[in-house]
Amino acid sequence: MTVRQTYMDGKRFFSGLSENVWLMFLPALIILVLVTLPPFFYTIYLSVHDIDITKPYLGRNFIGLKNFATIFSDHRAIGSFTNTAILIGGMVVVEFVLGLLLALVIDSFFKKATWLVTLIIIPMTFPRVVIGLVWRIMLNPIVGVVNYLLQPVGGGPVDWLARPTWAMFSIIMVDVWQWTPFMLLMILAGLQSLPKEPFDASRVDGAGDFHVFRFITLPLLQPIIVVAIVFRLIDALRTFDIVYILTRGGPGTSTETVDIFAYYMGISEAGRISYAASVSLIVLYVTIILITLFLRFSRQWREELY
Amino acid sequence: MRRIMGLVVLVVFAVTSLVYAQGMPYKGVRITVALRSLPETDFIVSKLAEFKMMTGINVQIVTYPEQQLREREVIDVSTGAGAYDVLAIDSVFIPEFAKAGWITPLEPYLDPEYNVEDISAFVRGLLSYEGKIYAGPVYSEATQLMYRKDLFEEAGLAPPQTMEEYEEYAKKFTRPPDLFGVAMRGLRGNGMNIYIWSEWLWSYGGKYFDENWNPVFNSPEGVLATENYAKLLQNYGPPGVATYGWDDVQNAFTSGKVAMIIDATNFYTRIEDPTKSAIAGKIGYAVVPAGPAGRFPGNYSLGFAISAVGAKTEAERGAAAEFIKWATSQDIELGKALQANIISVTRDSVFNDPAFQAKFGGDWLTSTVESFKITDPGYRPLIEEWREIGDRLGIAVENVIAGIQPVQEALNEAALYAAEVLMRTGKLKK
Repeated sequence: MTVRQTYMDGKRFFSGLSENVWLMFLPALIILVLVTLPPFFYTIYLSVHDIDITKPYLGRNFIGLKNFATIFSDHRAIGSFTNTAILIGGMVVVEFVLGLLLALVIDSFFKKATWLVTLIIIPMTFPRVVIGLVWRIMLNPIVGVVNYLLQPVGGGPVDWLARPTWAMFSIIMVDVWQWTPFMLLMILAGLQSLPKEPFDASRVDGAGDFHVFRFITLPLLQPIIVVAIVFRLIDALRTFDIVYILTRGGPGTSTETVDIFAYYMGISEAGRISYAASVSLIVLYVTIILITLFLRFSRQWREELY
Repeated sequence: MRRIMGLVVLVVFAVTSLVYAQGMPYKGVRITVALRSLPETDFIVSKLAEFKMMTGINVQIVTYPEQQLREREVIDVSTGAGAYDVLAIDSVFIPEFAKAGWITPLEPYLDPEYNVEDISAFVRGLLSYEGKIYAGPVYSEATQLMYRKDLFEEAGLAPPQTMEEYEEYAKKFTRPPDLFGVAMRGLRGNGMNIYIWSEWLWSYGGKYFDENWNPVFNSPEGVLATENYAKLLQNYGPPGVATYGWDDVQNAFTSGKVAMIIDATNFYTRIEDPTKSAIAGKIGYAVVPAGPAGRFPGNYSLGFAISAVGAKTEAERGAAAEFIKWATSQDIELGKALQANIISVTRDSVFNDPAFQAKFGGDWLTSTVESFKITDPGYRPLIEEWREIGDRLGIAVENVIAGIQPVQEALNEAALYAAEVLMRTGKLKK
C-alpha cells in the first residue's frame, strides 16, 4: 500500500515538470560515464597486452587472450579464486544466519532497547584496517588475549594465523564479528516495517511460532533478505584490507584472495599489470554472473515461499 | 613583443648570475621529496630550514607508509607523472629503477666534500647499479645475533659461533610456553623471510644463480639450508612464527619469551628502551653464527635518488643532488646519531667518532662494525628482477615453515618461476 503510494507520488512529481527533466540528470550521468568507462576499457586494453610496468624496456606486446589462458594453468591464480569463494561463502552464510537470528531475538524481546542496536553496530563503524590490526594483536599466539582467554577452558595455544585452515577461519571470524551487525540492521529494519495485520490474523487462526515465521515473516522479509545478501556479497568481494593485514594471503598462499593476488601480480610483487587486469576482469564477469543468478534464484524462491 | 622577451631573458640572466655569484646556484628551485617516515627521515625534515638558508632551495616533503611508498613511486614514474624529484628507495629496488631509467646516477654530482669513500663499502655497493652510485644512504643495517645475556650467563654459555651451536642452544632454551629458543622472520617477502633465510642459503654453501643465470637455490645445499631454517623455527620458535614479520620478532623478543633472534642491527634502539622492552639491559650482541661456508650477515639500506622522470631540468636535477648530498652528509649523519640517538649508521666516520663510541659502545658496536665489514652487497642479488623472484621464493619458504609443502617441491617451483622471469627479461637464454 505504502509502496504503491510513493510510486504514484513519484509519477506525479515527474509529470508535473517539463520534459527537460532529463537534462537535470545529464551532468551526473556524464560524470559517471567518464569516471567508470575509461578505466574499464583501459583494463580491457591492458588484459590483451603483455605490459610490465616495472620493465618498460620490454615494450607493450599485443598477445590476445593469452593472459586468460595463463590464468587457468596458474595454480596460484586458481587457488586464489577458490580461496575467495570459500571466504565469501563462509562470511556471507554465517553473517546471514547470525544476523537473522539476532534480528528475530531483538525484534521479539528487546523491541524498545534501541541502545542495544547502537551497541551491536559499533564494530561496523570502525575502519577495517584498524580492526585488522587490533585482531592481529589479539590473535597473536603468545602475547594475544584470545589464547589467554582460552587457556582456562583447556584450549592449547592456537596458531590462529599461521596454519592454513585456522587462518581462513580467523579471517571469516573477524569479518563475521564486524559485518553481522550489517545483516542484523537490514533484517531488523525489515522486520519492524512489516505490517501487523497478517501476524494478528495468523495468530487468531492458531498458527504456532514456527509457522508464523515460515509462512508470514519469511515471505514478507524475502526482498530485504535478498538486498542484504547482495550488498554483503558485493562488499565481501572487496575484503582486501582485513585479509591483507591479518595474513597477507598467507601462510604461503592459503588465504590469498583474488584481489590480493591481482595486487601482488600487478603492483606489489611483480609489475605484470596486464596479467592483473585479466584476473580482475574475470572477477568482474564472475561477479556479474553470480549476482544475476542469485537474483533469478531469489525470484524463484519468492514464488516458492508463497 | 620580441623585444620584451629579450629584455625578460636579459633580466633573468642577470638575476641568476647574481645568485650564482653568491654561491646559491639553485636559489628558488622547488623540489619534491617522496619518503617514508622514519626517525632518520624525520630528523632530516626537522633540519630543512637550515638547508633552505644555505641553498635557497624549496623542499617539499611527501610522506607515505612503508608499504605504499614503493608503489606510489612506481606509479609516479611508470606513468610519467613525475611528481617527485627525489625518491627514497630500498636498496634492493635500485637495479629495478635504474634499469628502467627512472633514476639518474648520482655520481656526476658528487664532490670531494661529500666524501663518498666514507660511506661503508657494502652500502656503496648496495646503492650502485652497473658500477655507478645512484643514491645517497639515509639508513643502513646489517643482521646480527641478539641474545639474552642473563640466560646465557645463567647457563654458563657464550654466544653460538656455529649453526650447530645455534641450534643446540635454541633447543636448550626452549621451554614452552614461557621461553622459546629462537624467533626469526617467517612471513613471506623478499624483504621478510628471504632477508634472513638468505643467510642460511649462503652459510650452507648455496647460491642464488649460476654463472649463466640459472636459478640454483633449489640445489642440495639450498634444500639443506631451507630445511634447517624451517626446523629451527618449527621446533624452537614461538607459535605462529611462520607468519612473523620483523615487528613480530621484535615484540616476541622484547616480551622476554625468546632467547635468541637474528635480525637488524637497528633493533638496538627499541629493544634497549626500558619503556618498550622487558629485557632492556639484558641483551648481548654478536656476529651471526657461521655455517659450513662461513658467516653471512644480511644487509639493507635506504637511499635518496634523483628521479629521472620528476627532475626534468638540469636545475631540478642539480637541486635534487644538492638535497641528497646535504641530507646524507657527514654532518647530518653524526647529528642523527648524537642528537637523536639514531644508530642506522651509513658512514664509517660515525662509527669512529669518539662521542658516538662513548654513547653506543659495548658489544653492540663491535658486532655491528664487524658485521658491516664482512657483509656482502650481493647478499640478496642486485638485479632488476629481484623483487618478483624474491617474493615468490618467500612464498616457498613460508610454505615450508608452515608445513604446507615439502622443501624440494617448494624450492623447485620458485626456481621454475625465477627462470621464467629471467627468460622474459632475456638474462637467461631459452
